Amino acid sequence: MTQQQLFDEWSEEVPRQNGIPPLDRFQGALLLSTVGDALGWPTEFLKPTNGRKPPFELPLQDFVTWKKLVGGKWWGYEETIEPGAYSDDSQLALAVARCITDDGNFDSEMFAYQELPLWLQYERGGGKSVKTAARKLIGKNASWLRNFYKQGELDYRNAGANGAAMRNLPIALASVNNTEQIIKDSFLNSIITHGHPRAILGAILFALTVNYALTTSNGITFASLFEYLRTEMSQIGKIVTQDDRVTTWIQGWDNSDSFEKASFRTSFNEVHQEALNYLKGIPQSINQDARAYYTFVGALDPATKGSGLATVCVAIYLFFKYLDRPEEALTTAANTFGSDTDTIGVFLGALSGAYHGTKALPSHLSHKVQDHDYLIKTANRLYSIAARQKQTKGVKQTIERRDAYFRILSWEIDLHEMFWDELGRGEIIFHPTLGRGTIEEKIEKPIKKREDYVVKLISVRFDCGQSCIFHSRVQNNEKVSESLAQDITNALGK
Amino acid sequence: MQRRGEGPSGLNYINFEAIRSLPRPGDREGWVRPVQAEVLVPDSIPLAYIPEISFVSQASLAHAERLCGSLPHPKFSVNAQLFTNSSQASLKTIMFPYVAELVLTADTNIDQSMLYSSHIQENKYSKSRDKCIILSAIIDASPGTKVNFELSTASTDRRVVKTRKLEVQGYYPNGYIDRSRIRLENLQVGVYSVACYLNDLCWASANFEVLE
Repeated sequence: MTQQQLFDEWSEEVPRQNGIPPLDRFQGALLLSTVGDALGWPTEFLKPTNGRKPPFELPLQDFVTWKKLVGGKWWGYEETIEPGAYSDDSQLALAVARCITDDGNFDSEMFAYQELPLWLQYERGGGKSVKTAARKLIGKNASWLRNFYKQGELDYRNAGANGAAMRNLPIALASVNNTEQIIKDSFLNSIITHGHPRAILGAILFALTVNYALTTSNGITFASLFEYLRTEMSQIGKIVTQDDRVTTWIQGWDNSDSFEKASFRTSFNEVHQEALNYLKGIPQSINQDARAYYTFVGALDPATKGSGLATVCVAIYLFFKYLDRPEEALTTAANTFGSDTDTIGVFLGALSGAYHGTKALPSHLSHKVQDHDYLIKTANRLYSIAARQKQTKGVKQTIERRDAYFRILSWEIDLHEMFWDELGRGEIIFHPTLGRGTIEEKIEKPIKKREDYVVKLISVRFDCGQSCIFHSRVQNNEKVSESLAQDITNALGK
Repeated sequence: MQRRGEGPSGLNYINFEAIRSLPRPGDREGWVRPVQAEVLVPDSIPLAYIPEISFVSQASLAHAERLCGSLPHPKFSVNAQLFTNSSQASLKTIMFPYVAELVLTADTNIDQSMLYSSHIQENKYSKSRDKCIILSAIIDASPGTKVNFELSTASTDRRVVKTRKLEVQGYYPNGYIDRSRIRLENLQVGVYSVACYLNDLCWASANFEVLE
């Protein structure tokens, strides 16, 4: 009896697309991107000169333990970050990966109403724009297509940082060789949190460059990449406006009250030109000290260092400058203090991994990065989607906003019991997007200026392979400040 | 105030409204946490005291019926709403993994409507007529859920013939659909059972018979 043939996996007879790059490049892109994040995160807040001496040796060549001050003067606490731990950049990239359906489409609703709000409870180093956008997505009339938030200095239409691009790698991988889908899904992914064309174009530029690196076998040149980007960027308007959701969003953008007076189209064209100028500056800076190019695009200026466009262009620059020395490229990114080291590391790692595959991974870092196996699994799934090896037919997979809210509300029971210490180490929880998890560790820290509060950090390892640290300030062992329950209850109209 | 009762009469003290109440962490007064005494049952509760048992899916109910065999049992019903945290919540808000449907068919051209069809064939397949059986499962599960299909003989000397393991990786609000093919040419005539385990817990099963 040939047992192997008794119980076969069903496969839809879908022919494999031609030209899908090897799996190793998918794995390389996701792994190296996360390594770049984990390597660059400890130096993100180091000043270029006269800064406080960090508790690790410089230049940084390896993953290190470091301490991060979380929160402000009144609520702040110190968190120890383990070697190889990744930041919000990779957390959100993994969340985006989960929102790509088996047929290769990015599910905006799932990301906006489920992944993003839930991420607030385990985020590490999340930026203000993304966190504000996430909170605004819970509400009676919340809509990811009309998330034109304004809060203090934050204005959605002016949010042009790299928070959209940094999570966009899975879209490039799942839609490799399909430029139209990459552009459309990158656009949709971006506008959930960022409204400025600089953030949107940065995300598209990053994804297109990954696509190019992934599909070029040997002898990649900047000239050929530039030609590809120039051609594809000129098509963005035409491609995205075929989607009714985008046209609705643009109308909303143009009609919303903001200090930005120009239309979206005008602003986008200006940023498009800015991108071309940044890219054109790469060849002439390639033999100069890297800091010259950083300065040229404003990546060392505190006001512009997080620009969605500048940081992507710096990564493209470093990728070509150190084309055959990817490890040196990563350490240069991590040691250029005063820049957005972790996010540039994310972009750069993705490009190097997409082009070289896993062989570009520094051997001393490869297996030490947080959730290594989950990253491999995620890359494998994205490869499988790209190659259309498996397809789910017949059932449209999406989640309604109300259902997403109810799922979060269900999860809040486990969340509270974790923070009330009714669930302890070794006990099981169920998370709406990460599934079943086991509580591994609980740490409690005092808040110096608020005696009635403590901070609790709860490490959970999920069966899917991701590990998260849930955090919250807890008042008198009762009120869990990171709870979304009140907002959700209000949003559900109860 | 504690109220206690011995024997089945103690069950009268259970506040079923509290059990079914929705925990509401967002309430202004704080978390409403119904305090419910545990019920200590030294032996077992006679089935006569249980009027009805509700299951999350037809697949689970069918599995329970198979386990009971010809033994008498309380009324079985499917009421997935009971497994959500609110009467207003849709079934997509059920947080634990379960098998929604488990269907065997010899027809390779199955479509969605057949998957949801309530009638299940007698599950008899002929080696001379049918080349293979298609096993279709709709599983409601989060990423990381380990799924294990086990094909075994259904005779008294139960013997596992084959297993197939997979892991749910994406998120599927409408259920993860898995299809696998059981080839008949290598199966001997007899009765077989296919069981679906989620995280090592059996959630559904189906018997089928292979004829010449």
